[in-house]
Amino acid sequence: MITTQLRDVCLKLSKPVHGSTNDKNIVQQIATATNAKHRTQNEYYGSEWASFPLNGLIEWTQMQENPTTNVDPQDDSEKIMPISSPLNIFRNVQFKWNIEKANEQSSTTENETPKITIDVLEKQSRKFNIDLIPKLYYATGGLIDLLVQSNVGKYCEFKLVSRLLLERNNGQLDNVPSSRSDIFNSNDISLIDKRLLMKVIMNCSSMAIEDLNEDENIPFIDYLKKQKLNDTLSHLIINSISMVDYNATTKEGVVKAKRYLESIGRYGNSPFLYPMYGNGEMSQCFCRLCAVFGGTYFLRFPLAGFTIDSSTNQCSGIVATTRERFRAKDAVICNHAFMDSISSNRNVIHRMVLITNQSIKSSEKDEITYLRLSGPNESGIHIIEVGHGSGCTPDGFFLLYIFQEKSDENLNQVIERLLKLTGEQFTQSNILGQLTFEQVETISSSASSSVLKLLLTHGPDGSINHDSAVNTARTMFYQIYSNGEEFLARAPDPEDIIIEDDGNASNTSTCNTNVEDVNSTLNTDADNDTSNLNTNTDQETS
Amino acid sequence: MGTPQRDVKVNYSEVQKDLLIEKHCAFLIGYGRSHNTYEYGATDYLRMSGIYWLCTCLDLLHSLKLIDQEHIIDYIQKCYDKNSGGYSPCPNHDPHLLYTLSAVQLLVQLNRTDLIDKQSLCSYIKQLQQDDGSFIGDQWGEIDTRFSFCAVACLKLIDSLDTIDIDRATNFIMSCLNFDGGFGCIPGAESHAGQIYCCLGFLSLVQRLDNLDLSTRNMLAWWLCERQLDKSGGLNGRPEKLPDVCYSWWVLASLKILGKIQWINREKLSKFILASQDDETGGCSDRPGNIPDPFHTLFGIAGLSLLNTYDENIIRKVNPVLCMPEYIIQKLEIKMQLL
Amino acid sequence: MSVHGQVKVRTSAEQKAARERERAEKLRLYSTQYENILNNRQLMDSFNLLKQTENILVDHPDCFTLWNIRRESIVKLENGKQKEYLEKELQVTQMCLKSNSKSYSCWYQRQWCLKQLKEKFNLNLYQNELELCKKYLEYDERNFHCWAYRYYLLERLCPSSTSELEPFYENELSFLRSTIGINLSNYSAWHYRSKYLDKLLDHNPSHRSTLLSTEWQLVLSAVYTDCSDQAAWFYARWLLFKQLGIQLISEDEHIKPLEELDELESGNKWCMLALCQLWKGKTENNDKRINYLEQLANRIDPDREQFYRDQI
Repeated sequence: MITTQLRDVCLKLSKPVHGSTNDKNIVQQIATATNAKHRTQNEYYGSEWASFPLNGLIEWTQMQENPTTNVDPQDDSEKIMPISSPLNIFRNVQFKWNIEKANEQSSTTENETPKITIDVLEKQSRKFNIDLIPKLYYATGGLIDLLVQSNVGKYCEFKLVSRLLLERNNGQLDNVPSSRSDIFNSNDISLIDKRLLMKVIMNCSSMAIEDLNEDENIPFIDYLKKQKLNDTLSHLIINSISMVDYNATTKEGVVKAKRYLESIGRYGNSPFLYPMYGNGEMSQCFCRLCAVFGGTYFLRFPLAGFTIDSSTNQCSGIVATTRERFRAKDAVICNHAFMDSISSNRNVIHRMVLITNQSIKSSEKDEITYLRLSGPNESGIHIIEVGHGSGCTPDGFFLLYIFQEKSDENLNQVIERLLKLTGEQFTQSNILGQLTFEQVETISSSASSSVLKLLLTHGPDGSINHDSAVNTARTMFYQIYSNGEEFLARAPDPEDIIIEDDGNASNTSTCNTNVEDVNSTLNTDADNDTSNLNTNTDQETS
Repeated sequence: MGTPQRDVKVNYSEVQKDLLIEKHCAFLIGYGRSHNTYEYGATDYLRMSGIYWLCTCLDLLHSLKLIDQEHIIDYIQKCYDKNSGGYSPCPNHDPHLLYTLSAVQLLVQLNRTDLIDKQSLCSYIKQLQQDDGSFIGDQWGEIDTRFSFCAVACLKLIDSLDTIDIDRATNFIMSCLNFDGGFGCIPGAESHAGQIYCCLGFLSLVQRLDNLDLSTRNMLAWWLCERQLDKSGGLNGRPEKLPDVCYSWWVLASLKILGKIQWINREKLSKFILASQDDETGGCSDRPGNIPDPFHTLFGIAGLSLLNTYDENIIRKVNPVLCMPEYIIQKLEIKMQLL
Repeated sequence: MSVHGQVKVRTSAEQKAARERERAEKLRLYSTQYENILNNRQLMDSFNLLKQTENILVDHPDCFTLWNIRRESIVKLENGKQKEYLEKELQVTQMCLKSNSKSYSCWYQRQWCLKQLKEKFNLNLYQNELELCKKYLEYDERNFHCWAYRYYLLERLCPSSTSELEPFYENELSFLRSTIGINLSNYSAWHYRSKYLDKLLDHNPSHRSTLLSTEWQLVLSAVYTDCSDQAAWFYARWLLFKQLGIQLISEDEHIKPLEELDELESGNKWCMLALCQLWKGKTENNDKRINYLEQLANRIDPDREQFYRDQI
């Protein structure tokens, strides 16, 4: 998966190499053709993209950044480009418990429910899988398509993001009506509005962008008003379906709406998937694949900097603080954030992880919830809640991830805003622990630096999905391999097909499956794909 | 704008446009001889009907002479169960009303009604009628409006309709009438073109189509003509289903009985049927590109007959109620009601 | 003899030969098994017959003679064993339904078992069967065999006391409502709704107008959400003309909302046709009615041209 290794550097060498690619272990995986090796200063895979058990997370917050030793060039033929010291990828990391360490034995009586204490949680540490960078996966396009097409999907398991919420005028949280069935069932939308909303949704799905003509560049909000949608419904489309800012153009809005709507129904009545056991699984996934093809990982590597050939200005390899040098044959890939010396715009994305013992909205079953808060003059705030069903928490506990789409002010107000929406159901007392930190997002327009063969990736962005990472990986891959090799080649198609299709009318959760056993797990394959993505939807029992 | 109609894609510029008579005959004859294939062997439980499909189709194509009549008659005799008075689909299988009808149709077609023990057949059918007027298929008690149709069709072919209680039988059929004017297999069951054909066929044979008032008949005819799908031009059997050549028969025959066959686009349907022919092996399949079989071949040809796409010299006129060549029905002077 | 949905695919001569060998073997196996069964039938060896037929039926669930043999065998067993085997039979049919969920013979066998067990009416059994139907409907919401079987179960479970009837019908209507809620194109659900609404109306004539009003609101919600969904339109026609009756059709409640929908969605054939039917006999709308019918015949739905012309 797309992983960013915090202190990793990735090289493609004839000999063992260090690797780190933000966007890819995918690139790793291809690079294994020539023994790509991957080195990280961490003890774990995945750097920024990792997941931790509870204790691991707390340890991480306490980690100090060790300054690196300076290394001198060994002769005139080389220069050294040191990595930044300290790296400063994560800043202002703070973790706060709102509960006590241990239960005082004396005060418990029969009637009192046992208080939740830090000890209790730490005992269940292993049942937590806490993401530093949580992401959702659109069911079509982007990473999911890549996983299916490359068969990497067979290493991972997903669940549907079963509940999509929005903030209503009346100060409550409600479900996002985006499918025909949602709109039909809604008691809050008038008949005429139902028709208008459906019309816009169907149009967005089926039209070609060219059909927009002059409307393409007008603000999306104006276009929606033109379709006679009232304020509430326009906001619904902008905030919760297209998920764009209020100044987005119609083209941007429609493209994103299409993505959302096309994704509904592929695996169930929701456009998003979430990996079982957290996003860290993704890194593991790709690492595993890379290893299968011969890639090597070197954890806890003491990286000092890069060696540059003086005459050609090409990056020739890396050097450790021990002065050991490793040569790169084709390329060195590293996270932009390492390089203070190649300075670029740095944004700060504020992130929070809350450990709670109550869902923000009660439900009879396990849910994975996504709520996007936004408004006319603000950029979006993503809120993801996962519970026991996702394999990320012990039973009875939840993780609430909050982060910004674009770097803005901090998130202080968000918790207040959320608590107003949840009312009595979810209060401050339900927030047991709170992690806040800033993540530096580096922006560069191109992947290459002024130094040849040194390719730079950037860290996770504030969007909800991985598109930018996938695109960067692809671009980078073709920069290294311009000989026509395919980026994550397709699995072969079977030779003969006999399809049993009885012309069953399928319901909205259309999956073209040939599964006749009612009890089996949903093995989904869309259209011509023959590879599978294992999903456990909430409807099927495996 | 709403959700798009469920349909199949047919590339009409590339499909078969001509009627492949010789190929169909070869296909049918070949099928009838293919005793060693799994398909043939494993469909023993309906073989009598299979033979009926085969022979009727050949007759419609003026090619009944290609079959070995003696062999078939011999086969039918072997399938007669003298204990019950009914016919089995295949020797060593139990008798059933469905295959009794097929056997009788064959014997009529091959002009060997002398071989039918009328009394025995009448008492077989009579004892299958239940108190509520319905018919069970065999002693094990399954009820279905298809069986009601089989019962009256059999009796009509041997001119003994009064064997059964027609009033009660009609009441049962009417109790299967649905909100959309259609009929299901039992009271309460959903409308389905096959069942509608059976029920309308029943009412036509007992000449009680007027039991359906005008508005119901119009509603039903509308429901039937809405079976035609816009893109492919084929007919489906009920809403939201894919088009299938066999519905070209059941829906079309139903419309013919109701006198509303003009309510569909005949040209488009013809094209769909022709496109479902297999230009390599002959025969028709359920829809273009699929595997052909005698069942769909008969109903495709019968459909074309009802549509009058070809002259009588090419495809004989077919009787819309009994699905047998019209000349045979005329010869027997069987009367039925067509609106 | 009759195949549905099998795509024809080109194979090499080799692959073809291999497949033919495989199928010839399959046929041989079937013939041998069938012959054995027939022999045992003569000998009336019930237990053996039940075992042998079970194996073969999974691949040949439509072979009704085999089911007959099973029924013969079960009926011959003594009382205690019979009950046991009847309940086991439900498992057997379940296996067969896995290979063909639309086999008339399989579904009837379940019904037959329940009929045999009727002396010993077992609520649990019926509840289990309803659960099974639910599962099958989740897999294929239009399986009419399953729906019909479910209807049969409910008829059996129908309470005899009038006070319990209403909640019973309302319960089912509620289930059907949620099924339509999942997919409003589920024609089967609308069909059964018509049946239970009928029953409820018969049972409770005093509530007729309220019930019909609420039902009409449901229909409007469906056609406004998806104006091309045919199920709701067929249902609407029945509701308006057969249940309500022309006398009781109201301008405000029934006609106006459709006229408004027509304005929002001009060119929708279902809406236009519904209006033409509602405007019939109203002189003030006559011209518009004829205009619409001509538009439908010529332009909007020309396949059914003659149908529209006949309405004029």
